[in-house]
Amino acid sequence: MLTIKNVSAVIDHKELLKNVSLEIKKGEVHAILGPRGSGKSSLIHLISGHPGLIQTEGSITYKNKNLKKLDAEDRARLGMFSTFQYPPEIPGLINIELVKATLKSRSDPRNEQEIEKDYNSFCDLLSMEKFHSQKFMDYDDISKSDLKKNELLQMLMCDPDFILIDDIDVHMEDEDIDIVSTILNSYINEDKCILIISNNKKILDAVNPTHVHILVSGEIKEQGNKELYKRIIEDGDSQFS
Amino acid sequence: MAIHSFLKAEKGDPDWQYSPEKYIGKEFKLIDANTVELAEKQVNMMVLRQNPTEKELLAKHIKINVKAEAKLDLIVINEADSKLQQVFLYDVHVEEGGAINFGIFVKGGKLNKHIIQVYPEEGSEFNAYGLMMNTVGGDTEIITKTVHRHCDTVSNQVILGIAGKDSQTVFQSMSVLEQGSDGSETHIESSNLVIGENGRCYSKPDIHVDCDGVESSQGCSTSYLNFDKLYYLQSKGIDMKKAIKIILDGFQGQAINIVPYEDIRDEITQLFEI
Repeated sequence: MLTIKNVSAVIDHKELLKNVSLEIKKGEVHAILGPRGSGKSSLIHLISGHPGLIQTEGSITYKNKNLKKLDAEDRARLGMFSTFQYPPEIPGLINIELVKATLKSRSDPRNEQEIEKDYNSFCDLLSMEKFHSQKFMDYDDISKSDLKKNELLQMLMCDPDFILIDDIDVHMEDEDIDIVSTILNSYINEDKCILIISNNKKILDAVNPTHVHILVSGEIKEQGNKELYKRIIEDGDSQFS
Repeated sequence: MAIHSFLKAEKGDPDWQYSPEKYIGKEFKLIDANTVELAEKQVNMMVLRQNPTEKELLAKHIKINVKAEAKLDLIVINEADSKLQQVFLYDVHVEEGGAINFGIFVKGGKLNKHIIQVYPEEGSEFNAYGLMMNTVGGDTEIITKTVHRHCDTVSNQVILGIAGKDSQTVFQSMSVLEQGSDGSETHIESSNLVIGENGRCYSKPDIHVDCDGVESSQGCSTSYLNFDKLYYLQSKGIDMKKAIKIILDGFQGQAINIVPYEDIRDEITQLFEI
């Protein structure tokens, strides 16, 4: 579904990714681990189409389309969805309106009533009472944990083929990590493929990665199966230095 | 005329101490002036629409008197073209136990200045909310001065500003709790969004307290229509034009949605559409 071949990328002339290659097929779950600043989020942003990241070498194809020629919205419309590590605050935003606009842009066939019904069901599932329909995003009143769960809520509403999850557990409370783990575990199936960044064992156990990649200083240093993430988490970050 | 002498106020006059330097002492030719007495008949809602387009200079003085125990919803809707310089002075007097919800929605102008002076009496309330926007290379300003001289008075202000390319908005708000205004409260909040190159939004909330047992708060923030927000929305599948609209609608909605009448909300939404 996604093929990354020898990709390098820069932002403001600073090299963030060097000669990265990955292939993600339908039904596979790829986990990326690595120390802070190793380029993990940059890789997700590069795939998603961040305008500040410039691909200097290599190629990225998704569903046989060269992503370099596509803007972020066009990439999303091909069926991918990125959850953000730090979703920006958009004052006055009504979350359901954002979800409706997102679904409309993706040619979702549901009508407004169906969208609202599904939305409210997912709010209940994720214990997100403050996000029910027609409510403003009051950022003073919403926890960081809820903001991260909102990324998952939008993902569930879109039901994409390819999911990119960037450190969803960071700033998340323990009970919410349990909720997210349970949902991700039941959501993943052979029709989806996932690229997940996480150093959290509970999350990784839930998504049960088929492939694990260790990214250090923008380069993939090691690859393996799920035994690799278990070893990395057990040994801690110090091994990267 | 009161408005004329006001505009000719000398440097150092307390009413002008927060005004931009360049306007102090500047004479405005008085082309038009009128005085409106509101709430004389205990009306509870009034919309003032001021959309002068032909005059280049304009000054108006509007007196608003809210009777004791009366409640007034006043909504000012004003649009000025890029050549117009105008100043509006609103003198708001709220009698004992009265309340005014003052919605102010102003857009455009070379200089478009709205000055609101408020004198609440015992147990009365002044709530101001609104939105100002300048995208025509001019300067749109809302300046308020609330003088609490009596006990148990309340003033709340939430004003938003949007500045486009080479444009400016200014919100200066001074709330004075003088001796004798015990048990009163005042809150000033301002939020701005810069949407164009060299756009500027100034906010200066200012509270002076000279009595006991009062409650007060103030705060302001300015954000930019930047790549991060647009990219966030675009990465969901939303195109650039729609993404900008979502950000602007959300921001403007914080003020527009306070308007209690749907048809007026629609009118204001249309006016502020970019």
